[in-house]
Amino acid sequence: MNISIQNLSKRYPNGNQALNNVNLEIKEGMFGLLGPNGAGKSSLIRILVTLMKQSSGQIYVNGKEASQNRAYVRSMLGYLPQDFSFFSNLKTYEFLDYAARLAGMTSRKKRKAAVDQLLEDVGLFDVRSRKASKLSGGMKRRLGIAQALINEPQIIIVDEPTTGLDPEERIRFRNLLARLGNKDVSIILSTHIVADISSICEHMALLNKGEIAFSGPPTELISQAEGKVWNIYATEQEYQKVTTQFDVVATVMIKEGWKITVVADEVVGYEAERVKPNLEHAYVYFVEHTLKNKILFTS
Amino acid sequence: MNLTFLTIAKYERKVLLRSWFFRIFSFLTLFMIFIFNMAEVSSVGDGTWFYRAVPANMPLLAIYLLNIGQAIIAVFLSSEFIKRDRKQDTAEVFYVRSMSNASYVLGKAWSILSLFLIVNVIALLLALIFNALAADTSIDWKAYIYYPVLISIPTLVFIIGLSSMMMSIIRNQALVFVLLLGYILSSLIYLQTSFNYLFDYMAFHLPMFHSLITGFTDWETIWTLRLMYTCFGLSFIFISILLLKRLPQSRFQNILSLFLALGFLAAGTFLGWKHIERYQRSISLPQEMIALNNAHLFTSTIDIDKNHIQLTQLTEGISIEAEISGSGAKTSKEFVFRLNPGLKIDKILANGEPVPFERQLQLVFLKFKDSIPAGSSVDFMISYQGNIDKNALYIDIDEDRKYKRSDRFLYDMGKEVAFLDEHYLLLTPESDWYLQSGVGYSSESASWYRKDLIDYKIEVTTLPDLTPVSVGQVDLIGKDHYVIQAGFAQPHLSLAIGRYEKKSWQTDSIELAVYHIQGHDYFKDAFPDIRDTLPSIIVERLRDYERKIGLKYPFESFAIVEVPGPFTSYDRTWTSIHQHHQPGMVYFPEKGLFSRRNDFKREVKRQRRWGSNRNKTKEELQISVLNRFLERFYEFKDVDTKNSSQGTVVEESINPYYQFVQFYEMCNNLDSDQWPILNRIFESYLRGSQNEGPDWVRRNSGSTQNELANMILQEKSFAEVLRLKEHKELVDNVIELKGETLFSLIEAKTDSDQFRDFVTELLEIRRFENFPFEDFVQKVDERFGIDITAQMDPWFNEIQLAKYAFSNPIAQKVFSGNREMVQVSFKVSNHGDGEGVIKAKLTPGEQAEDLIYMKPDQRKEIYYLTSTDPTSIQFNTLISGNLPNQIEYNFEQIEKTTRQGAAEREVILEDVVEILDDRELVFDNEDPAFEFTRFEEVSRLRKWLKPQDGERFKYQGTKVWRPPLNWTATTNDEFYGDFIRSAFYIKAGEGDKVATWNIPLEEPGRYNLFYHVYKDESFNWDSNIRGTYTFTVPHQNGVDHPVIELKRNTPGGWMALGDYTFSNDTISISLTNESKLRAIFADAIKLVKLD
Repeated sequence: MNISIQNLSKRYPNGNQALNNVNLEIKEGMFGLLGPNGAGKSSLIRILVTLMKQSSGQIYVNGKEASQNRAYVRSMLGYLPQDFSFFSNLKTYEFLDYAARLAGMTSRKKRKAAVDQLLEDVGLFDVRSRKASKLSGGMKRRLGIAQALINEPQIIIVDEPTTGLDPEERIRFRNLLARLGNKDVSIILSTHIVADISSICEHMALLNKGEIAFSGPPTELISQAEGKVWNIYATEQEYQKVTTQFDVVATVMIKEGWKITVVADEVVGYEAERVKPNLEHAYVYFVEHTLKNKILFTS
Repeated sequence: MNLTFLTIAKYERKVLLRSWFFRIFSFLTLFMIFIFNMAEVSSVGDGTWFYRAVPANMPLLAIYLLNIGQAIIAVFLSSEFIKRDRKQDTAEVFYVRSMSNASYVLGKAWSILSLFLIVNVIALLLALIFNALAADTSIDWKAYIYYPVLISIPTLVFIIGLSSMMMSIIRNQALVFVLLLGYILSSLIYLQTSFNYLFDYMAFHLPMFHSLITGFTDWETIWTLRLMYTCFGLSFIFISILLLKRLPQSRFQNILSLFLALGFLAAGTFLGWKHIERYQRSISLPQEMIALNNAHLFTSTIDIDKNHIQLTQLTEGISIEAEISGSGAKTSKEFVFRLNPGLKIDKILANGEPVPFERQLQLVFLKFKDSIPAGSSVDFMISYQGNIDKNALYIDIDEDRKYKRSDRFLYDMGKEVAFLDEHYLLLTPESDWYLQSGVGYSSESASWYRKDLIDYKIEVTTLPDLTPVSVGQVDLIGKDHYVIQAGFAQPHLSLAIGRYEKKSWQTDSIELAVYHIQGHDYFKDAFPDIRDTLPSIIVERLRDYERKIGLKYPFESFAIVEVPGPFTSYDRTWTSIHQHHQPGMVYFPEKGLFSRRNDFKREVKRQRRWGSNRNKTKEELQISVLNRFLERFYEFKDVDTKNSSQGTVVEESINPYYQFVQFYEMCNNLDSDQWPILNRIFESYLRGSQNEGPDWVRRNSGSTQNELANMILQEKSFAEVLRLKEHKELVDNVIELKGETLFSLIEAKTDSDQFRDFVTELLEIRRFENFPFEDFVQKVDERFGIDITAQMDPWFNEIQLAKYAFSNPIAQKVFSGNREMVQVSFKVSNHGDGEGVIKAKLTPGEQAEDLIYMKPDQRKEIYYLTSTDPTSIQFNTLISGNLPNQIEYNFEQIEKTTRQGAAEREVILEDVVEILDDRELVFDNEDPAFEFTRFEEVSRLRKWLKPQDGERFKYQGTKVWRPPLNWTATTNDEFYGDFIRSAFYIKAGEGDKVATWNIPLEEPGRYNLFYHVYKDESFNWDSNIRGTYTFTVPHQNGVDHPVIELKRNTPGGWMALGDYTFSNDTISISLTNESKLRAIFADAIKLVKLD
């Protein structure tokens, strides 16, 4: 499986440039698409799933240009949109059965088996006869992922899947995706929550203001932040100054005052120690530090 | 596309099925169909015969009712789909699946369509159950297929397509719903039958009746329009595919959708265009024909004496060869005839030589080499063939009337004027299927009309297994070859060919027959207990009628011929012959479907349930049902009343089955080129005055049809009325009134009984021959010394009306010889400028109506004697300046006298009839100085929605239970009035509405004041009624407010208001609407001088 995005741009009729010359290569496995709100993630996803046309550029799926081969692309897609809460008047299993039938499962018997299996996998078997609209938020998300997975699609695209879920649901969801990532499919996970990606993605891209700011394995992003993450131990008096001077990742109250995790090239004048960065640190460092500097520099 | 659309449809159907909106609709519709079937089809409801008589009506009823609902609900459901796709984010997960846009939209459309079809099936099953359980009917299985196919599918496809397309464009469900609902309501209420049902997408008005004999009435219109709507619907669905907000998946399917959208759109447009073209031809052809008739109105004609027609029925059309004999009316080389423009002439031969002819639409001009002298005989042969162009029939009848829907049944049965196909043929003279002399209807002069009694002989070669029916003996002379000859001259000729069977009963004097289509003899066992006496009962009823009208039935047989239900004929002003009539024959709709009187078996059961019939024997009940059936042939008019916010409208039409026509029009012909309307006029005299309809109709509508006709004649001459475009519905009444007046005048001038007897005798002698009017005039002159022609011109061209004033009739006990009798006397004077005649009748009274002839300015005193105490006397003023034209005086008491030698007499008086005392002054609401307050009672919205249509008559009905909010003029013989007995009335209220009599006083002084009180009908049915009339009387010493108190037993008429002294030269007496009564009537004030 190979998805190649080349020079992809999207400009809305209102003049908003959502995507600008995006280039990406996506292979099998879990691919994370990270970026702040409004970065253009959903536009990219909607173009990928053939819900929207790009303004320019191409997407190739296994070498086939997607806008010319929508049937081909759609036949291997499973998609969970960002908003997934309003259902027509169908029962949970009917909804899944409908999706299965549209996904090309013509055999009633096989479809039933697949639907039951998926309902088991996402933990909805017990509520299979409940109207889909009556499910809880988490259950709806799980039903969403179940319909995206029906008939074993080769490309699974999930847009902000954990938004609004409680921590337990979020973990369960990540695990479900991680399990799938082991199969021979491409899973594109678009999110603005770093933890979603850090735990499961092998590759990622960082989208900022419609452009790819970074593309590669998360470890590479992390390595760029090596030596740039600090814990500053600040007193009450210093706290205000530190938070305005540095890009803060986390703040913890301790006995002597505050432990403030920041990203910075150097910290002088405070009691500070270097910390081993994680993806979240790297993301903040990248977005708040590298990109800003880049913009300052280029401007 | 494969079958993905079925998958989509399957799940969308589930969603729809769970919608309460759909469930409630389905339940209510099915419930309504159930109730309707219970009421109309099952024996429980005891409903109409219409549905069971023609079994296709039962599935039609179900589909018709269902379709009204589904046509509206489908708009909501199909727009809901698109709205839901936008609203529900989960729809996107289906959008990214591999399926074409076509599959998606078609799947959604099919889901709605298939679901409604399921409801259709349930509705039809329901109908089928009732159908199977119903008595005296069968199951028309095909109807269970073609009604959903012709009604439901096109309706649903069209409305689903239209709503989806509009929703895709407008994307606002509320707006789409409002727009489409507007369209639906317009098609139902305003557009209705416009352009021959072009806008009737739900086949609400389109006649879908399926005759047992001929199938659909206008199959071409039905299939064209239903296919047109299906094509448009499909086109809109494919346009919706193109407009779907989803990136297309298959270029091929998109292009295919575009092609199909355009293809169906083109097909629909083509069908619509063809339909409009056909419709426009149906409008333009009559106009062209009338113009042609007008242009050749005075071209010479031949009086045809004999016509021997040899007709061959073809699978498509007819072929005719006719030998015609006649004589030229004037010396000429060129003669005009008419023949249906659909029939093409092959040749015309005279003495074996071809005669040159010219054809212009319906007209045929025969151009002989040499002039043919007037009166000399002409023989020629004509052969022609083709089909009947139905647009060429009833060219004088306007489009609105032709398309007017009959409200008799739930849905329109449709109208058809001629039938011509391989299974059935029905041609009446209106279709000009045989050559007729002269031009047809002309809008310029009534002189186009001619009635000729002609000797017809028909030889018919039918298609296999069919039998011809026409007047006379039918003899089979070869395979499918028949000869029919009546043996007497006929005014017109009709021919029916079908799978006819004849059932007949020969009585002493007459053969009674029924020609019915095979298998339609449902009546066969309907009267098992009077089987033997049935013919004599029918003949006895006929003899009763003969006695009543004083004329003898002229034919040796009377036959009822079954024809298709939609067969229609229209009233004509120039003749009372309907196309339903043939000499001694009447066309009756299949199985008598229009009335439950013809559902004989059930009618017997129904009668048995009536309380008064419980003790009747089977025979008596069956006789009663038979008589009710026969009654239809003796009823003159069909009266239909409709209530609207504008008031009650009475619609009268001549009953097409009325058989009086057999006694005069079918056998006699008073032939006059100058007065072509004479036959009609003469017939109306012979028929005599008919009941004016029930009293309540007059109360509601304000006037009888005759009074309205009288109002027209007060302003227009008869000649003008006949050319009038407005008030067409009253022309019949005008003709009757004119006829009645003319001959009543003649009768009054002669000795009444003798004139009538003389006429009856003369008619019998001159039966079956053309009787020139000049001969009639001469004979009347010889016998009575009256020159009718002198009367004719002013009668036809001038407005000269009599205006009568009557004194109060007095009834007294007197002695005539030794017998005590009651003498009724009254004075009458004619204040108009024309002569006139009044019909007077005592109730109860053994005498016939008396005719009182009145010259202008003549005064008479009339004395009648009667042996029974009269309760009232009625006057009918016929055409006059009086309103109402029926006045009734009740006798409260009969004075006892010992006067001897009383006799019936008419005394001509020298003095003016003084109805009032010298000292009396009466001021009526008709006086110009009478005034009243006016208010705007109609809201702007109502005015906008229902603008007042056309000119209305001044006098309205009296509706006491819903009185008007403004003073409204109304007439009644109980009101005061010299010639017009009228009053203004209004809803009683707070006293804010006032009527004022401004009275000029020649002499100031002391007067007794009276008011003319009218007690409306609420005094009859409300025993506790009480209320007041409050007046304002300004007098010398101030202002008084006299009050009249009214209770149930208070007498009406003049009531005292007190005596007052007036010093002014004008006094204004007012009446307010302050009262607890329902309505207040402002009529007349009387002043009686005291000193």
